Amino acid sequence: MNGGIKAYVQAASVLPGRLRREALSLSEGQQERAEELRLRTRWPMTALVGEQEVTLGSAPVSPGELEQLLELASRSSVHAVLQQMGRGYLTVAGGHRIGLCGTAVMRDGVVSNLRGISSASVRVARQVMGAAEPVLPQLLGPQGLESTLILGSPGQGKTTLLRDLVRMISEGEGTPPLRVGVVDERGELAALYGGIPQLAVGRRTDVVEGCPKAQGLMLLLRAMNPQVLAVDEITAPEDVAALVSAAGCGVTLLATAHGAGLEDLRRRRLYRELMDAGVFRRIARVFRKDGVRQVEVEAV
Amino acid sequence: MELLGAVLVSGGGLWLGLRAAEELRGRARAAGSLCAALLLMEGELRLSLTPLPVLLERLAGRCPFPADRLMAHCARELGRGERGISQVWPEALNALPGLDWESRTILQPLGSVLGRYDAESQLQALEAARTALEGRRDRLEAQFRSMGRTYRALGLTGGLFLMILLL
Repeated sequence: MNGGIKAYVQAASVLPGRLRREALSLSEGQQERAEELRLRTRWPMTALVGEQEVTLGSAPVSPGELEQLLELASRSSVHAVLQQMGRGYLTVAGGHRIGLCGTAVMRDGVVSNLRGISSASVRVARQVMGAAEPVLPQLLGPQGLESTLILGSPGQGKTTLLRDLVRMISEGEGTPPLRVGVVDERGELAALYGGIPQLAVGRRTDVVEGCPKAQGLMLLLRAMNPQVLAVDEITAPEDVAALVSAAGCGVTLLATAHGAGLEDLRRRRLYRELMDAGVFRRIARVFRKDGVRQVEVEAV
Repeated sequence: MELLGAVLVSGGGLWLGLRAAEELRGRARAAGSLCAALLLMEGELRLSLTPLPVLLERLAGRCPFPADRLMAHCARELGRGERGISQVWPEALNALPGLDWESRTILQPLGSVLGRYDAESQLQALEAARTALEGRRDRLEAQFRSMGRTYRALGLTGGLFLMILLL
Protein backbone atom coordinates (compact mmCIF):
# COMPACT_ATOMS: atom_id res chain seq x y z
CA MET A 1 0.00 0.00 0.00
CA ASN A 2 1.55 3.34 -0.99
CA GLY A 3 1.54 6.47 1.17
CA GLY A 4 -1.41 8.09 -0.61
CA ILE A 5 -3.69 5.10 -0.18
CA LYS A 6 -2.46 4.56 3.37
CA ALA A 7 -3.41 8.15 4.27
CA TYR A 8 -6.84 7.68 2.70
CA VAL A 9 -7.47 4.41 4.57
CA GLN A 10 -6.36 6.02 7.82
CA ALA A 11 -8.69 8.99 7.26
CA ALA A 12 -11.59 6.65 6.41
CA SER A 13 -11.06 4.71 9.64
CA VAL A 14 -12.68 7.56 11.55
CA LEU A 15 -16.02 6.87 9.83
CA PRO A 16 -18.75 4.70 11.36
CA GLY A 17 -18.83 1.08 10.12
CA ARG A 18 -21.11 1.28 7.07
CA LEU A 19 -19.61 4.51 5.78
CA ARG A 20 -16.10 3.16 6.33
CA ARG A 21 -16.88 0.15 4.16
CA GLU A 22 -18.31 2.38 1.45
CA ALA A 23 -15.29 4.68 1.57
CA LEU A 24 -12.97 1.69 1.16
CA SER A 25 -14.98 0.47 -1.85
CA LEU A 26 -13.37 3.26 -3.91
CA SER A 27 -10.80 1.96 -6.40
CA GLU A 28 -7.14 2.17 -5.32
CA GLY A 29 -6.39 4.74 -8.01
CA GLN A 30 -9.18 6.97 -6.71
CA GLN A 31 -8.21 6.39 -3.08
CA GLU A 32 -4.74 7.65 -3.91
CA ARG A 33 -6.09 10.87 -5.40
CA ALA A 34 -9.08 11.45 -3.11
CA GLU A 35 -8.80 14.70 -1.19
CA GLU A 36 -11.97 14.64 0.86
CA LEU A 37 -14.95 12.56 1.89
CA ARG A 38 -18.17 14.53 2.15
CA LEU A 39 -21.12 13.56 4.30
CA ARG A 40 -24.45 15.35 4.15
CA THR A 41 -27.60 14.17 5.88
CA ARG A 42 -30.17 12.59 3.57
CA TRP A 43 -27.60 12.19 0.76
CA PRO A 44 -25.12 9.40 0.06
CA MET A 45 -21.50 10.07 1.00
CA THR A 46 -19.22 11.36 -1.76
CA ALA A 47 -15.47 11.42 -2.30
CA LEU A 48 -13.77 14.44 -3.81
CA VAL A 49 -11.37 13.00 -6.37
CA GLY A 50 -9.62 15.73 -8.31
CA GLU A 51 -12.38 18.12 -9.33
CA GLN A 52 -15.08 15.43 -9.23
CA GLU A 53 -17.40 14.29 -6.43
CA VAL A 54 -17.78 10.52 -6.69
CA THR A 55 -20.91 9.09 -5.01
CA LEU A 56 -20.21 6.19 -2.65
CA GLY A 57 -23.05 3.73 -2.09
CA SER A 58 -26.70 4.62 -2.38
CA ALA A 59 -27.95 4.83 1.22
CA PRO A 60 -28.12 8.37 2.58
CA VAL A 61 -26.05 9.48 5.54
CA SER A 62 -28.21 9.64 8.67
CA PRO A 63 -27.95 12.21 11.47
CA GLY A 64 -27.08 9.32 13.80
CA GLU A 65 -24.08 8.44 11.63
CA LEU A 66 -22.85 12.02 11.80
CA GLU A 67 -23.18 11.88 15.59
CA GLN A 68 -21.17 8.66 15.54
CA LEU A 69 -18.54 10.30 13.36
CA LEU A 70 -18.17 13.05 15.94
CA GLU A 71 -17.95 10.43 18.68
CA LEU A 72 -15.22 8.50 16.87
CA ALA A 73 -13.32 11.60 15.73
CA SER A 74 -13.30 13.05 19.24
CA ARG A 75 -12.51 9.64 20.76
CA SER A 76 -15.73 10.01 22.73
CA SER A 77 -14.31 13.16 24.29
CA VAL A 78 -16.12 16.17 22.89
CA HIS A 79 -15.34 18.02 26.12
CA ALA A 80 -11.63 17.77 25.35
CA VAL A 81 -11.93 19.15 21.81
CA LEU A 82 -14.61 21.79 22.24
CA GLN A 83 -12.21 24.62 21.49
CA GLN A 84 -11.34 23.05 18.15
CA MET A 85 -15.00 22.31 17.46
CA GLY A 86 -15.81 25.95 17.96
CA ARG A 87 -13.58 26.60 14.97
CA GLY A 88 -15.58 24.06 12.99
CA TYR A 89 -13.15 21.18 12.71
CA LEU A 90 -11.31 18.43 14.55
CA THR A 91 -7.86 17.07 13.85
CA VAL A 92 -7.53 13.30 14.17
CA ALA A 93 -4.55 10.93 14.22
CA GLY A 94 -2.60 11.28 10.99
CA GLY A 95 -3.42 14.99 10.73
CA HIS A 96 -6.68 14.42 8.87
CA ARG A 97 -9.28 17.09 9.48
CA ILE A 98 -12.95 16.59 10.15
CA GLY A 99 -14.92 19.69 9.17
CA LEU A 100 -18.33 19.97 10.83
CA CYS A 101 -21.49 21.94 10.10
CA GLY A 102 -24.65 22.16 12.15
CA THR A 103 -26.44 24.44 14.57
CA ALA A 104 -23.92 26.59 16.39
CA VAL A 105 -24.17 26.88 20.17
CA MET A 106 -23.02 30.36 21.12
CA ARG A 107 -21.47 31.28 24.46
CA ASP A 108 -20.24 34.81 25.16
CA GLY A 109 -20.57 35.62 21.47
CA VAL A 110 -18.30 32.76 20.43
CA VAL A 111 -19.20 29.41 18.84
CA SER A 112 -18.71 26.98 21.71
CA ASN A 113 -20.21 23.80 20.26
CA LEU A 114 -22.22 22.38 17.39
CA ARG A 115 -25.43 20.43 17.80
CA GLY A 116 -27.60 18.76 15.21
CA ILE A 117 -24.69 18.09 12.88
CA SER A 118 -25.95 18.39 9.31
CA SER A 119 -22.82 17.76 7.25
CA ALA A 120 -19.17 16.87 7.62
CA SER A 121 -16.05 16.54 5.53
CA VAL A 122 -13.07 14.32 6.16
CA ARG A 123 -10.04 15.97 4.61
CA VAL A 124 -7.22 13.54 3.88
CA ALA A 125 -3.87 14.91 5.03
CA ARG A 126 -1.09 14.07 2.63
CA GLN A 127 2.42 15.30 2.88
CA VAL A 128 4.37 15.90 -0.31
CA MET A 129 7.94 15.25 0.81
CA GLY A 130 10.40 17.10 -1.38
CA ALA A 131 7.83 19.62 -2.68
CA ALA A 132 10.18 22.43 -1.66
CA GLU A 133 13.40 20.91 -3.02
CA PRO A 134 13.46 22.84 -6.32
CA VAL A 135 12.29 26.03 -4.59
CA LEU A 136 14.57 26.34 -1.56
CA PRO A 137 17.80 27.20 -3.48
CA GLN A 138 15.98 30.15 -5.02
CA LEU A 139 15.10 31.49 -1.58
CA LEU A 140 18.71 31.72 -0.48
CA GLY A 141 20.48 35.08 -0.62
CA PRO A 142 24.01 36.11 0.35
CA GLN A 143 22.98 36.15 4.04
CA GLY A 144 21.20 32.82 3.85
CA LEU A 145 17.46 32.18 3.80
CA GLU A 146 15.43 35.23 2.73
CA SER A 147 11.99 36.09 4.08
CA THR A 148 9.51 34.69 1.59
CA LEU A 149 5.82 35.14 0.87
CA ILE A 150 4.13 32.23 -0.88
CA LEU A 151 1.23 33.31 -3.08
CA GLY A 152 -1.49 31.34 -4.82
CA SER A 153 -5.20 30.64 -5.11
CA PRO A 154 -6.89 28.17 -2.74
CA GLY A 155 -6.03 24.52 -3.42
CA GLN A 156 -2.83 25.24 -5.37
CA GLY A 157 -0.52 23.86 -2.69
CA LYS A 158 0.75 26.88 -0.75
CA THR A 159 0.47 25.12 2.61
CA THR A 160 2.12 21.98 1.25
CA LEU A 161 5.05 24.04 -0.03
CA LEU A 162 5.36 25.98 3.23
CA ARG A 163 5.29 22.77 5.30
CA ASP A 164 8.04 21.19 3.24
CA LEU A 165 10.13 24.34 3.38
CA VAL A 166 9.81 24.31 7.18
CA ARG A 167 10.82 20.64 7.28
CA MET A 168 13.86 21.12 5.02
CA ILE A 169 15.11 24.21 6.85
CA SER A 170 14.59 22.59 10.24
CA GLU A 171 16.36 19.42 9.13
CA GLY A 172 19.15 21.35 7.43
CA GLU A 173 18.42 20.00 3.97
CA GLY A 174 19.82 22.41 1.36
CA THR A 175 20.58 25.01 3.99
CA PRO A 176 22.28 25.04 7.41
CA PRO A 177 19.74 23.82 10.01
CA LEU A 178 17.72 26.55 11.67
CA ARG A 179 15.28 26.74 14.55
CA VAL A 180 11.82 27.25 13.13
CA GLY A 181 8.74 28.49 14.97
CA VAL A 182 5.41 27.65 13.37
CA VAL A 183 2.13 29.36 14.19
CA ASP A 184 -0.39 26.78 13.07
CA GLU A 185 -3.64 28.58 13.79
CA ARG A 186 -5.84 26.12 11.89
CA GLY A 187 -3.81 23.00 12.60
CA GLU A 188 -3.00 22.46 8.92
CA LEU A 189 0.76 22.82 8.89
CA ALA A 190 1.86 20.40 11.58
CA ALA A 191 -1.52 18.98 12.64
CA LEU A 192 -0.67 18.41 16.30
CA TYR A 193 -2.45 15.43 17.84
CA GLY A 194 -1.72 14.55 21.43
CA GLY A 195 1.22 16.94 21.28
CA ILE A 196 2.83 15.17 18.33
CA PRO A 197 3.00 16.76 14.86
CA GLN A 198 1.21 14.37 12.53
CA LEU A 199 2.99 15.85 9.51
CA ALA A 200 6.77 16.10 9.31
CA VAL A 201 7.91 19.61 10.13
CA GLY A 202 11.47 18.85 11.20
CA ARG A 203 13.32 18.26 14.43
CA ARG A 204 14.12 21.92 15.15
CA THR A 205 10.55 23.11 14.79
CA ASP A 206 8.38 24.45 17.60
CA VAL A 207 4.65 24.57 16.91
CA VAL A 208 1.98 26.77 18.46
CA GLU A 209 -1.44 25.56 17.40
CA GLY A 210 -4.92 27.01 17.64
CA CYS A 211 -3.61 30.43 18.55
CA PRO A 212 -4.29 33.64 16.58
CA LYS A 213 -1.27 34.30 14.35
CA ALA A 214 -0.34 37.65 15.85
CA GLN A 215 -0.30 36.26 19.39
CA GLY A 216 1.42 33.06 18.30
CA LEU A 217 4.24 34.94 16.60
CA MET A 218 4.90 37.02 19.71
CA LEU A 219 4.70 33.96 21.93
CA LEU A 220 7.30 32.12 19.86
CA LEU A 221 9.55 35.15 19.72
CA ARG A 222 9.48 35.54 23.49
CA ALA A 223 9.64 31.89 24.43
CA MET A 224 11.49 29.87 21.80
CA ASN A 225 14.12 32.16 20.24
CA PRO A 226 13.37 31.10 16.66
CA GLN A 227 15.58 31.89 13.67
CA VAL A 228 12.72 31.41 11.23
CA LEU A 229 9.00 32.01 11.80
CA ALA A 230 6.35 30.42 9.58
CA VAL A 231 2.65 31.29 9.33
CA ASP A 232 -0.10 30.16 7.00
CA GLU A 233 -2.71 32.50 5.48
CA ILE A 234 -2.14 36.11 6.40
CA THR A 235 -5.60 37.66 6.44
CA ALA A 236 -5.84 40.32 9.13
CA PRO A 237 -4.15 43.65 9.88
CA GLU A 238 -3.00 42.22 13.25
CA ASP A 239 -1.14 39.45 11.36
CA VAL A 240 0.62 42.07 9.23
CA ALA A 241 1.56 44.15 12.27
CA ALA A 242 2.94 41.06 14.04
CA LEU A 243 4.97 40.05 10.98
CA VAL A 244 6.45 43.54 10.71
CA SER A 245 7.39 43.44 14.41
CA ALA A 246 8.91 39.97 14.06
CA ALA A 247 10.94 41.06 11.05
CA GLY A 248 12.31 43.89 13.19
CA CYS A 249 13.68 41.25 15.58
CA GLY A 250 15.93 39.82 12.89
CA VAL A 251 13.91 36.69 12.26
CA THR A 252 13.42 35.28 8.76
CA LEU A 253 9.75 34.97 7.86
CA LEU A 254 7.91 32.45 5.75
CA ALA A 255 4.22 33.08 5.10
CA THR A 256 1.43 32.32 2.69
CA ALA A 257 -1.35 34.52 1.32
CA HIS A 258 -4.08 34.34 -1.28
CA GLY A 259 -3.03 36.26 -4.35
CA ALA A 260 -2.14 35.99 -8.01
CA GLY A 261 1.18 37.87 -7.88
CA LEU A 262 3.07 40.92 -6.75
CA GLU A 263 0.86 43.35 -8.69
CA ASP A 264 -2.25 41.78 -7.20
CA LEU A 265 -0.76 42.20 -3.71
CA ARG A 266 0.05 45.85 -4.25
CA ARG A 267 -3.55 46.52 -5.26
CA ARG A 268 -4.81 45.26 -1.86
CA ARG A 269 -4.36 47.60 1.07
CA LEU A 270 -3.53 44.96 3.66
CA TYR A 271 -0.71 43.47 1.63
CA ARG A 272 0.46 46.82 0.26
CA GLU A 273 1.38 47.82 3.79
CA LEU A 274 3.25 44.58 4.21
CA MET A 275 5.14 44.97 0.96
CA ASP A 276 5.91 48.64 1.67
CA ALA A 277 7.46 47.61 4.96
CA GLY A 278 9.95 45.57 2.93
CA VAL A 279 9.50 42.48 5.05
CA PHE A 280 9.71 39.95 2.22
CA ARG A 281 12.62 39.58 -0.16
CA ARG A 282 11.20 36.73 -2.22
CA ILE A 283 7.76 36.00 -3.64
CA ALA A 284 7.02 32.38 -4.53
CA ARG A 285 3.94 32.08 -6.74
CA VAL A 286 2.27 28.68 -6.74
CA PHE A 287 -0.03 27.75 -9.63
CA ARG A 288 -1.08 24.74 -11.65
CA LYS A 289 -0.31 24.24 -15.30
CA ASP A 290 -1.88 21.24 -17.01
CA GLY A 291 -2.76 19.89 -13.56
CA VAL A 292 0.87 20.01 -12.40
CA ARG A 293 1.96 22.29 -9.55
CA GLN A 294 4.47 24.96 -10.59
CA VAL A 295 6.36 27.48 -8.46
CA GLU A 296 7.88 30.71 -9.74
CA VAL A 297 10.18 32.66 -7.45
CA GLU A 298 10.71 36.37 -7.82
CA ALA A 299 13.13 38.61 -5.91
CA VAL A 300 11.53 41.74 -4.47
CA MET B 1 -25.89 -42.57 56.78
CA GLU B 2 -29.27 -41.02 57.52
CA LEU B 3 -27.62 -38.56 59.84
CA LEU B 4 -25.07 -37.60 57.23
CA GLY B 5 -27.83 -37.02 54.64
CA ALA B 6 -29.79 -34.90 57.09
CA VAL B 7 -26.71 -32.81 57.92
CA LEU B 8 -26.01 -32.30 54.23
CA VAL B 9 -29.61 -31.21 53.56
CA SER B 10 -29.60 -28.77 56.43
CA GLY B 11 -26.19 -27.52 55.31
CA GLY B 12 -27.60 -27.04 51.82
CA GLY B 13 -30.48 -25.03 53.19
CA LEU B 14 -28.11 -22.84 55.15
CA TRP B 15 -25.93 -22.38 52.07
CA LEU B 16 -28.94 -21.28 50.00
CA GLY B 17 -29.88 -18.75 52.66
CA LEU B 18 -26.32 -17.44 52.89
CA ARG B 19 -26.08 -17.21 49.11
CA ALA B 20 -29.28 -15.20 48.86
CA ALA B 21 -28.01 -12.86 51.57
CA GLU B 22 -24.62 -12.59 49.87
CA GLU B 23 -26.30 -11.70 46.57
CA LEU B 24 -28.10 -8.87 48.29
CA ARG B 25 -24.82 -7.66 49.77
CA GLY B 26 -23.13 -7.99 46.35
CA ARG B 27 -25.76 -5.76 44.73
CA ALA B 28 -25.30 -3.11 47.40
CA ARG B 29 -21.52 -3.35 46.99
CA ALA B 30 -21.73 -3.07 43.19
CA ALA B 31 -23.94 0.00 43.44
CA GLY B 32 -21.53 1.47 46.02
CA SER B 33 -18.47 0.83 43.85
CA LEU B 34 -20.17 2.51 40.90
CA CYS B 35 -21.07 5.51 43.06
CA ALA B 36 -17.39 5.83 43.93
CA ALA B 37 -16.43 5.48 40.25
CA LEU B 38 -18.87 8.18 39.17
CA LEU B 39 -17.51 10.49 41.85
CA LEU B 40 -13.93 9.92 40.65
CA MET B 41 -15.06 10.50 37.07
CA GLU B 42 -16.65 13.81 38.05
CA GLY B 43 -13.44 14.91 39.73
CA GLU B 44 -11.28 14.07 36.70
CA LEU B 45 -13.67 15.80 34.30
CA ARG B 46 -13.99 18.88 36.45
CA LEU B 47 -10.28 19.33 36.98
CA SER B 48 -8.56 18.25 33.81
CA LEU B 49 -11.03 17.68 30.96
CA THR B 50 -9.30 14.32 30.45
CA PRO B 51 -10.22 12.54 27.20
CA LEU B 52 -12.58 9.67 27.97
CA PRO B 53 -10.38 6.71 26.95
CA VAL B 54 -7.56 7.99 29.18
CA LEU B 55 -9.95 8.75 32.01
CA LEU B 56 -11.58 5.29 31.84
CA GLU B 57 -8.21 3.58 31.80
CA ARG B 58 -7.13 5.57 34.83
CA LEU B 59 -10.34 4.76 36.67
CA ALA B 60 -10.01 1.06 35.84
CA GLY B 61 -6.91 1.06 38.03
CA ARG B 62 -8.47 3.06 40.85
CA CYS B 63 -12.05 1.87 41.19
CA PRO B 64 -13.18 -0.99 43.42
CA PHE B 65 -14.71 -4.13 41.94
CA PRO B 66 -16.92 -4.33 39.84
CA ALA B 67 -16.70 -0.70 38.62
CA ASP B 68 -13.08 -1.38 37.63
CA ARG B 69 -14.34 -3.97 35.12
CA LEU B 70 -16.82 -1.54 33.60
CA MET B 71 -14.10 1.06 33.15
CA ALA B 72 -11.57 -1.42 31.78
CA HIS B 73 -14.10 -2.85 29.30
CA CYS B 74 -15.00 0.62 27.97
CA ALA B 75 -11.37 1.80 27.83
CA ARG B 76 -10.34 -1.33 25.93
CA GLU B 77 -13.13 -1.03 23.38
CA LEU B 78 -12.68 2.71 22.87
CA GLY B 79 -8.97 2.11 22.38
CA ARG B 80 -9.79 0.04 19.32
CA GLY B 81 -11.25 3.19 17.76
CA GLU B 82 -14.05 1.44 15.95
CA ARG B 83 -16.98 2.22 18.24
CA GLY B 84 -17.97 5.13 20.40
CA ILE B 85 -18.95 5.17 24.06
CA SER B 86 -22.68 5.17 23.19
CA GLN B 87 -22.26 1.64 21.81
CA VAL B 88 -19.69 0.38 24.27
CA TRP B 89 -21.26 1.59 27.54
CA PRO B 90 -24.54 -0.42 27.42
CA GLU B 91 -22.63 -3.53 26.39
CA ALA B 92 -20.18 -3.14 29.27
CA LEU B 93 -23.02 -2.51 31.74
CA ASN B 94 -24.81 -5.67 30.65
CA ALA B 95 -21.66 -7.70 31.14
CA LEU B 96 -21.12 -6.34 34.66
CA PRO B 97 -21.54 -8.91 37.42
CA GLY B 98 -23.60 -8.24 40.54
CA LEU B 99 -25.45 -5.17 39.28
CA ASP B 100 -29.23 -5.21 39.78
CA TRP B 101 -31.69 -4.14 37.11
CA GLU B 102 -32.58 -0.84 38.77
CA SER B 103 -28.95 0.28 39.12
CA ARG B 104 -28.35 -0.71 35.52
CA THR B 105 -31.33 1.41 34.45
CA ILE B 106 -29.93 4.40 36.35
CA LEU B 107 -26.53 4.06 34.65
CA GLN B 108 -27.73 3.24 31.12
CA PRO B 109 -28.46 6.84 29.95
CA LEU B 110 -24.89 7.93 30.73
CA GLY B 111 -23.80 6.16 27.53
CA SER B 112 -25.47 8.80 25.42
CA VAL B 113 -24.07 11.71 27.46
CA LEU B 114 -20.48 10.78 28.34
CA GLY B 115 -17.98 12.28 25.94
CA ARG B 116 -20.66 13.78 23.74
CA TYR B 117 -21.23 17.16 25.35
CA ASP B 118 -19.27 19.83 27.14
CA ALA B 119 -17.87 18.99 30.56
CA GLU B 120 -20.59 20.91 32.39
CA SER B 121 -23.42 18.90 30.81
CA GLN B 122 -21.58 15.65 31.48
CA LEU B 123 -20.98 16.63 35.10
CA GLN B 124 -24.69 17.34 35.56
CA ALA B 125 -25.60 13.93 34.14
CA LEU B 126 -22.95 12.19 36.24
CA GLU B 127 -24.11 13.92 39.39
CA ALA B 128 -27.76 13.06 38.71
CA ALA B 129 -26.88 9.42 38.07
CA ARG B 130 -24.68 9.27 41.16
CA THR B 131 -27.39 10.74 43.38
CA ALA B 132 -29.94 8.23 42.08
CA LEU B 133 -27.43 5.39 42.46
CA GLU B 134 -26.55 6.43 46.01
CA GLY B 135 -30.25 6.22 46.84
CA ARG B 136 -30.41 2.77 45.29
CA ARG B 137 -27.29 1.68 47.18
CA ASP B 138 -28.81 2.88 50.48
CA ARG B 139 -32.00 0.96 49.74
CA LEU B 140 -30.01 -2.15 48.84
CA GLU B 141 -27.95 -1.87 52.03
CA ALA B 142 -31.10 -1.48 54.12
CA GLN B 143 -32.58 -4.44 52.29
CA PHE B 144 -29.47 -6.46 53.07
CA ARG B 145 -29.61 -5.50 56.73
CA SER B 146 -33.24 -6.51 57.08
CA MET B 147 -33.53 -9.33 54.55
CA GLY B 148 -30.00 -10.73 54.81
CA ARG B 149 -30.58 -11.96 58.33
CA THR B 150 -33.99 -13.30 57.33
CA TYR B 151 -32.54 -15.20 54.37
CA ARG B 152 -29.84 -16.76 56.53
CA ALA B 153 -32.32 -17.69 59.25
CA LEU B 154 -34.75 -19.07 56.66
CA GLY B 155 -32.01 -21.17 55.11
CA LEU B 156 -30.95 -22.52 58.47
CA THR B 157 -34.47 -23.25 59.79
CA GLY B 158 -35.54 -24.68 56.41
CA GLY B 159 -32.56 -27.02 56.51
CA LEU B 160 -33.25 -28.01 60.12
CA PHE B 161 -36.90 -28.58 59.33
CA LEU B 162 -35.96 -30.85 56.44
CA MET B 163 -33.49 -32.66 58.66
CA ILE B 164 -36.20 -33.30 61.28
CA LEU B 165 -38.55 -34.49 58.55
CA LEU B 166 -35.93 -36.87 57.16
CA LEU B 167 -34.96 -38.22 60.53
